[in-house]
Amino acid sequence: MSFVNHHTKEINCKIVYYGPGLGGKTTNIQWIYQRTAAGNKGQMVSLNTENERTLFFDFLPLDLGQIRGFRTRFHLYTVPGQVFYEASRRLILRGVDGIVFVADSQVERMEANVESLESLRANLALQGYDADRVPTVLQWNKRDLPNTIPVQDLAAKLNPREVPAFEAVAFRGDGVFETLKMISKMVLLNIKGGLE
Amino acid sequence: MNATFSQRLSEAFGRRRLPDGIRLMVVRRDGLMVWDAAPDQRSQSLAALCGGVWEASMAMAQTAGAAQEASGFRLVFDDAATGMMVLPLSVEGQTYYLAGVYGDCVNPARLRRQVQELRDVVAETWVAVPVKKSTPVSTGREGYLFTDITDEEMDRLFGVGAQHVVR
Repeated sequence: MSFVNHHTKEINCKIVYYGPGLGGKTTNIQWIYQRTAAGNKGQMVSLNTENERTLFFDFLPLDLGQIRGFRTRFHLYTVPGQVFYEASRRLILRGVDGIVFVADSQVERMEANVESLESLRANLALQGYDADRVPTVLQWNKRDLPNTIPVQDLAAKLNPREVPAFEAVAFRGDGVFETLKMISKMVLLNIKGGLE
Repeated sequence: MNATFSQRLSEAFGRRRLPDGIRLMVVRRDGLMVWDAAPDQRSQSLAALCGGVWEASMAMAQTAGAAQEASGFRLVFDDAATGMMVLPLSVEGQTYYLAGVYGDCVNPARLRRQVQELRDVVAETWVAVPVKKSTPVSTGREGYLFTDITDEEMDRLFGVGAQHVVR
C-alpha cells in the first residue's frame, strides 16, 4: 500500500512487474536503471540464479523528484516468471500499488501469458485485493520478433478491461518509459487521502 | 499511520545507545524503509531485501509446520561473524521489522540480546499518538490525494519519453 507522509510531503509507491518467464520484466527494470540519472535511483538488487533467471525478485528504487509538492518515490519490483515460483510471486505482491503485466507477444507464449494473468488475479485475491481495482498497465513486449501475435488479438485475449497497453521492445527501450509513466500516473491518481 | 512516524522512531532510537557494529533499520512488511540508523543510497534496497528475507523465512516456516508467528530470526554466515537479524517490533498497532545487518562481530549472541533489549524498550515506552483530525483538501475526486495529473507533469517527473498508447 502506498505510504503518504503529509508532514514531510513524501509519497512511496510499490509497482510490480508481473508476467510469464522470459517475457522481459527484468529487461524493463534494467533499462530504467541504465537510463535514470544517478541521483534519481538507488541500488538495484537482483536475486538471480546462476543462469541469470530471476530467483526471487529484482528491486529498483526511484526517487524522481516532486509532483505537486510531494517528493515521489517509486519502488519497482519484478517477480520471477517461472511457473514453480508461485509462492515467491505471492509474497512480492504484498503491499502493491500498481501492476505492469509484461506479456510476451510470440505466438508460442500465448498460453503462458494467459496462465500468468490468471495467476496474477488469484495471487492478488489471496492478498486481499480485487484485481479489477488495482491500477494495471499491459505491455506487449518483443514486438520486434517475426512470430508475434497481432496487438488486437493480444488485447482480445488478455485485456478485456481495456486498461492502457503499450507495445514494447524492452531490450532497446521501446515502450519502457511510456509504460512506467502510465502506471506511475495511475498509481498516483489512485492514492487515497486528500487530507492535510 | 501517524504523519511523523519515522521521526518519532528516530527519536525513540536516538534516545538510546545503539549497539556497536550493527546497522539497524525499521522496515514495513512490504519492504518499505521507515527508519534507518545510517541512511544512504542503499537504504531502500536493504529494506527490500530484509522484507523479502523475512517473508520467505515465514513462508518456509509455515510450510514446515512451524509456528504462524515467529519471534524473530537470524541469518548467519558460516563464520558467524557476519549476518543479519530481524525482530518484530509492534508499535501503533502494527508490526514492523527491526532489522540489523552486522559484520566482523566477535559475539553475535550478545549483539542479538542487545538488539532484543533495545526493541523491547522502544516497544514498551512507545506512546501512541492519536492521528490528528484532518481537514479534507477540496478536490473533485472525493478522498483522493490528487484531482488529476497531466501528462506534462509526468513528463517533467520522468524527464524522458513520449506516450504511445495502444489498446
